[in-house]
Amino acid sequence: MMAILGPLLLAVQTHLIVVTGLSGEPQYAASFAKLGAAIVDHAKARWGVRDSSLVYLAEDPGADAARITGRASRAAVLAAVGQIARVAANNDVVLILLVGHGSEQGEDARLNLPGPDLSAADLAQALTALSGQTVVVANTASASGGFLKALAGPRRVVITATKTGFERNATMFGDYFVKGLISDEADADKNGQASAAEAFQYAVREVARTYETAKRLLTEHAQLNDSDNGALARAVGFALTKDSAADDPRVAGLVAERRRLEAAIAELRGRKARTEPAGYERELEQLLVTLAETTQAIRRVQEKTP
Amino acid sequence: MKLPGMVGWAALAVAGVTCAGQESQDPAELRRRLSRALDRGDVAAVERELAGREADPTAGYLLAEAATLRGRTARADSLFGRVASAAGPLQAVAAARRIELLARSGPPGAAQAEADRLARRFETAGPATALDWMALGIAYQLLGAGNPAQFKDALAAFDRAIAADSSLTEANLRLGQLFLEKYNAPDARAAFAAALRRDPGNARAELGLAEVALFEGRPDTYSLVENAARSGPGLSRANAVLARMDLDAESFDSALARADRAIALDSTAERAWAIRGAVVLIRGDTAAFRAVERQVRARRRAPGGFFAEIAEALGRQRQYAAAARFAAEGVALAPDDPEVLTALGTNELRLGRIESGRARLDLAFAKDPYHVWNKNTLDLLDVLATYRTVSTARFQLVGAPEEIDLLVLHLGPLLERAYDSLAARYRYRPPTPVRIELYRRHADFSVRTVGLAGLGALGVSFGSVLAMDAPSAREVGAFNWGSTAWHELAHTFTLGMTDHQVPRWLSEGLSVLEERRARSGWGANATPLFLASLKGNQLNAVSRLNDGFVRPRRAHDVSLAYYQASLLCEYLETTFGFESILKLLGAFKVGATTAAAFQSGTGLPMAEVDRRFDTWLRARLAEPMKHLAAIRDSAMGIGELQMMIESGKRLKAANQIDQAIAAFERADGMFPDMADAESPAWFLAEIHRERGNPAKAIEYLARVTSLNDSHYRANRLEAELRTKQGDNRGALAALDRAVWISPYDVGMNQDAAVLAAKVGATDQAVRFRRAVAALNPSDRAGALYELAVAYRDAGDRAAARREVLRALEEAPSFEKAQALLLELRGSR
Repeated sequence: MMAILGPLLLAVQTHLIVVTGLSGEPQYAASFAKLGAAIVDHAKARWGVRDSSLVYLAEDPGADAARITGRASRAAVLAAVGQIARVAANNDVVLILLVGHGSEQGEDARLNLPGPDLSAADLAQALTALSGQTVVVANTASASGGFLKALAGPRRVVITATKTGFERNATMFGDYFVKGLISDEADADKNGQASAAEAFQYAVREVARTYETAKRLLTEHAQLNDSDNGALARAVGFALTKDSAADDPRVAGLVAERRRLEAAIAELRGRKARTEPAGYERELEQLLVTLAETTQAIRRVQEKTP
Repeated sequence: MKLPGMVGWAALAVAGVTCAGQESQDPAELRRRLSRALDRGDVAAVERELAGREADPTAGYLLAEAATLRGRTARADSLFGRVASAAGPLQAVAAARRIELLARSGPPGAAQAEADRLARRFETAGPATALDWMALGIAYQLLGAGNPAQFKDALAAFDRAIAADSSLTEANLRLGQLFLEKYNAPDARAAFAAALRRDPGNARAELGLAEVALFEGRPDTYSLVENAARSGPGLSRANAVLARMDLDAESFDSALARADRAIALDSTAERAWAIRGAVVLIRGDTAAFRAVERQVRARRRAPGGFFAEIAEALGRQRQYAAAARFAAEGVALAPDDPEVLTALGTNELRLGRIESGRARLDLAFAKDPYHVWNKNTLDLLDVLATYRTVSTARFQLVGAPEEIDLLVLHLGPLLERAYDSLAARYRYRPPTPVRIELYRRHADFSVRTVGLAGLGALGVSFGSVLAMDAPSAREVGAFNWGSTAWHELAHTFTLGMTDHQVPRWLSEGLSVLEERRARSGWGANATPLFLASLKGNQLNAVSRLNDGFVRPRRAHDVSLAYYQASLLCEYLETTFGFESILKLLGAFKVGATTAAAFQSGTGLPMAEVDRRFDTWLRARLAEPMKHLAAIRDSAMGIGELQMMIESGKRLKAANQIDQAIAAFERADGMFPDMADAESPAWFLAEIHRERGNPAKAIEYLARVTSLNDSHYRANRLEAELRTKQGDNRGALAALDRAVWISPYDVGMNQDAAVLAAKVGATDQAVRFRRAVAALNPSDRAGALYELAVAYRDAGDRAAARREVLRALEEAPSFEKAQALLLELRGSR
């Protein structure tokens, strides 16, 4: 397991490519390594990512030999995309996380790697191999804004830590984005998954808060683009916990009812602005109580019949 | 205040004086001598020298200027008229000066028409000489009243006059005055300085520089004006400026004497009349004020500037309602006068009449677009329009939409408590609602207060309207916003119960004392500088305590005065009872002098109060004074204490921890009351924390946080260590203090809520949970759920249900919230 495409409620396999680029200074090397380790460990434990579906490329593979699968060269990154394309089934989710320092020369946005840099155009070309999959690319590097437009395409969510190539200061976005993916802090709707959109919004908010607290001018403005006006980013979810009821045949009916109620609540919220407030509140409470009772019923069944 | 045109006798340096019958005298020398005499305001010397020579154009012009200096307008008009009627180098400038006189006393519009005629003449023919350029500048300056763009033309014309003849000091002086009128201090200073370079010792240039200093609020202003007055003893204006400064310093007798001196020199000196009028009004003598008004209006039918000056003087005395009233009288007479419109608008804003105030300032700004205060204030009002108002029982809190809900959570209850506490103590209830504006940018607060950025203060009380920095306006640790609000609200009481006649020292002293009474650690404490000043007998006597606020000689005088005034109030309360303070306030309400007020409050003459307070003060501060003996040169230089702290820091950095502790402990022993971010106690706390000795660290932290109300890190660290020690109440108290330094940390509010719940402080738990929700945390549903739990625990099930529904609306699948919803419904 598994990423979840929310509206389709379709369980799919997740594949992960993590690339940490040139660090420049020991503090960044440590920070990049920490991020890489955290997401790799979580992906294996919570998303069920198999070794064949996981590539972790870093500046110094020897720094964490147990996790890192190779050196983060341009060629290795492009090869990794090809490798995942070979094992990924249609509709699977591929998460590509780029960490490091970036630069931009003219229109050419780059991630700084040992040897030749990885350009946005390089990656865009490589991603054509993943046309059957849902791809989430998060470039958390400085000056990463140029990747947004270059990588945009069908069934793609592209996230960058900066708006343009002019935002060249080291970013904080990656730390919070990864934290959003692997902890429940970003799970705003408490459904046990962090969607790409939730992790992004969480990171944006926390980055702003950190800068504000330090009385610093915000020098990174993260961006998100997806091919479905944000709906895809909201739909691609990464599991935080395992829902014991989802695959339990004893409560299948109740789970179906729960999904129906959740959908009804989502529909009601969608027409909130057009609904008379008292009526909205009444209907919402009714649905929420029924949903709560349904959840309670599921838990009771599960508790009684181990 | 718009400044009347200055005399133009320096023109004589160019035109020359024909001294018939005195061929033995060198004409150039005579010219220089007479010009200098006029610079000093020595009219008698000029009149003596030139008696009977009015027919000579140059002598006539000089005599006209002399007459202008003494307010003999008719004679000046006649003499200028004679010079202007005959061809000659002074013809145009005499005509311009005559139009200036007309502008001061003639029918509205007449001077404008004349100035327009003069300007057109030059625009057609082109000025030929430096004096012509100056005449054109004067004409443009007058036309600027109707068409502000022409002020720029006036500046250009004066510049051309200087370019044509660099020895024409008068053009520089006029340039300086015009820049100052348009709030451009740097250029005004440059122009006056240029005049002084050309004519060293020129009293008018010295006075101009002193007025620039006054505009900029420099502490040495008074001595600069005094110097100028000494250089030019016959200059009415110098006396008028000193009168204004005396009035601002609440030295009313002196202000009146200075104003009368200025009027004696020049009976048309509107500014001096205004100061006299303001003083008699402050003393409650309305009849005397109306007599002043009659004098002024006999010369000028619509003296908008006079009423503007009255209003500004009253405003500086914190009498905003009276200021607005008199400004309104001025507007009724001179509805297009930007000065008096500004005075009315500014004071209306101080009274909380935002819309009306804005309309006045809009009108004033249309008439005078160079008015930087109005520009700043109108910009500020645009910001204020985006702010949101939240009301409590007796307060309207106004702040930025992104933080006002959070700020109200903490400040609302504090203000309500402060109101009750102060009302009981002062037996007075200010009218409500009291409006408090919390500015997210310090520059906005500064503009709200003084019209310009750069004010050092944290808050201001206009009576029923308070303004202050929001905690977000400054670096964390820069101030305590709770004690600031309490301080400003105390002013609302002391201002209100004295009809705004409380002197500054008493109002500030009581506000600081009330801070100290409100919460342990709030309010000022003895600093090494204060103790050194006490030891060196450098503190002001009680009778001159106000000078520390209104006429500080050194930058730190104001902070010393705040603390000293608070101790004086403490002395009065502890020695004579709080009743004595109420008697003092009552005496000031009816216009008593300071000596009479003290007699009323204490039954003692001023000198005796001075003596007894000094004795009490030395006893009160005996303990810290003992330590002072070990601090050499503590007031100004790096003393032993500072050296020891620096030594400790170096040793700590070198990881010589035992030696660092010894150094810090020695420094701490020298002055245990030191509690800032560089205090030995703080460094010792950090070291003991790092060494795994939390009990010792807490001991030092407790001292720091009990003495310093703005040490955020110390409070956070104390909370952390006390939590680990299981001292939940102590930890909660530390976080409750930290909130008043910076309330914005989500984690801190969460920790405080958890601690409050643990110790059963359910109301506090709700407040901190509401704060978390107001901070718009990433886990919003979680925050709302926790708030619902806090409400449930506090017994407010309706609020709990409301919040849990909000949580579930955002996160319908949130199982813990679902369970709480069912629990709350089950118990209905």
